[in-house]
Amino acid sequence: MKNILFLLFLLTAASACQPSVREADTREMFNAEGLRVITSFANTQQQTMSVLYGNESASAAALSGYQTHLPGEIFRLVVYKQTDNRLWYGSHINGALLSVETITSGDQLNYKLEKGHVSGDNTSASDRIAYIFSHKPSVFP
Amino acid sequence: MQLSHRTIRRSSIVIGIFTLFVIAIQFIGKRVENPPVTAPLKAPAEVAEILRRACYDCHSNETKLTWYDNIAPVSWLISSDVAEARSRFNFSTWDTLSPADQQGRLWEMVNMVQNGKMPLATYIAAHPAAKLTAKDLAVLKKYVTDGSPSKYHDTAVINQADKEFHSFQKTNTADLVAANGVKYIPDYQSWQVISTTNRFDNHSIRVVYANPIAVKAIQANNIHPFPEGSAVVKVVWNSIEEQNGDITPGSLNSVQIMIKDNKRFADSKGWGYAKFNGINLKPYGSTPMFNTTCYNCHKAASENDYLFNLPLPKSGLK
Ligand code: HEC
Ligand code: HEC
Repeated sequence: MKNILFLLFLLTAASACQPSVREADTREMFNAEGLRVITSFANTQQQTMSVLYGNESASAAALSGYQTHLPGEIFRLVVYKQTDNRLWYGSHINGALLSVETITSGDQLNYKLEKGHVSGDNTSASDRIAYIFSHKPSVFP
Repeated sequence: MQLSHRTIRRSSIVIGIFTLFVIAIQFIGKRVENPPVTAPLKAPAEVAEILRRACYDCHSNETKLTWYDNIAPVSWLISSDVAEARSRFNFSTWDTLSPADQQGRLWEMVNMVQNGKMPLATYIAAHPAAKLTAKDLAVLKKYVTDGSPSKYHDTAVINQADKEFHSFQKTNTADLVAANGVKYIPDYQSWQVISTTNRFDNHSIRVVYANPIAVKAIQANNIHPFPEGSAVVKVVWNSIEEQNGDITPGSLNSVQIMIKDNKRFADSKGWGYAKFNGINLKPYGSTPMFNTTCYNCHKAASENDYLFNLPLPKSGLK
């Protein structure tokens, strides 16, 4: 056992010494650029997993039930494809990024699909704003 | 080559001494004993057969040893494995666990088998029948899944979440610390989210954050092991599930932490664990020993330096 461990150690050490990382092994994470999580949700039938982010004023608007909006709010919804967690039967984890949508507030609410595409029947800007604002903020300690 | 008389005499002395030694050690060391079976696991025949075949020799009081298992020094190894295995969970005293803990253990078993950690490789080598097939694993998976059904529109979770939501207030986190010395991290919400998960074993939904050291390590796949100072925070909510597949966060379940501090947590591969329960963030575990229970289950993810929720590598994205 000790010998096997030592061999494994040597192998890992050897691979760690190689200068470049295989591109395929690198991992990307969505960079929310300072926005904070308002809530997260999922749908196992559509196999999607989503995170809604916002800046401080967006979070405040969310806490008030999205009733009133002040200029300067930024909401960003990131939707991923659901995958199985290979290391734990019993857990889903986010896979490939499907879409990024942003709502900003000025004189009015502006909607923009930044990346990917949104599936379903109701994909107009007002439909998406209503959908995004249907999500209550999570209880954070 | 001719062996001289001298060589032959020498080797017979060596063999003689060795034989005496093997005989002598048979009288020392612990033997496995079988205490009474008080509250055995009750499972469908198909499931019980698998567990009996592959796990009962170690994780029950019905250990059946073969003749060579009884010979020292093999018997010493076996008896220490059995003692360790029974201390973790024991099918013969199964009812001493709460129903929730029983269910949690069963999911852990499925995953230790799936990830090739159990039964122990040394045991399979001597007992080939204990190696579980894909079909065996499928039977176990179905058993645990059937035992943890979704409760749609769970009003208990919904009402509690409403209560917490309306009294949405910042808990005073200044002095929060777990029994092993790992402190609560108040500003984790400014960190980057590395993954989001939901679970159908314990019906919860999660967001996982990492500090800049850990994020950098993950991006570069420099995680074998994670660098000193890495930290990961996971926020867990009890989920509200609906028949149309919707899963949303309900009441706060816990905030869980892993920090890499190689000196302080040398016994758990450098990771210090902490868990703060409920909206009041009550530290879990009354002694530092709780750290080991976290580590033991996280061994199922040893290939990723004990982290389950790494974002998928580019090659794994579809
Ligand atoms: C040869 C003895 C042996 C057999 C057979 C065996 N185990 Fe284990 N098991 C152990 C030992 C020893 C440990 C503690 C090892 C460790 O944590 O490094 C353990 C730990 C575990 C754990 C982790 C418990 C914890 O503390 O979190 C699980 C789960 C588990 N075994 C499941 C199984 C299942 C399921 C089977 C049958 C398919 C099985 N084991 C068969 C010896 C055995
Ligand atoms: C029965 C198995 C089990 C036990 C015991 C356990 N964990 Fe985990 N833990 C998991 C699994 C599975 C995941 C990944 C799935 C998820 O929860 O999203 C995880 C994820 C985590 C994460 C996020 C990082 C990662 O590994 O993906 C933290 C932090 C964490 N656990 C802390 C703890 C702490 C603290 C304890 C002890 C109080 C503990 N765990 C005990 C199974 C376990």
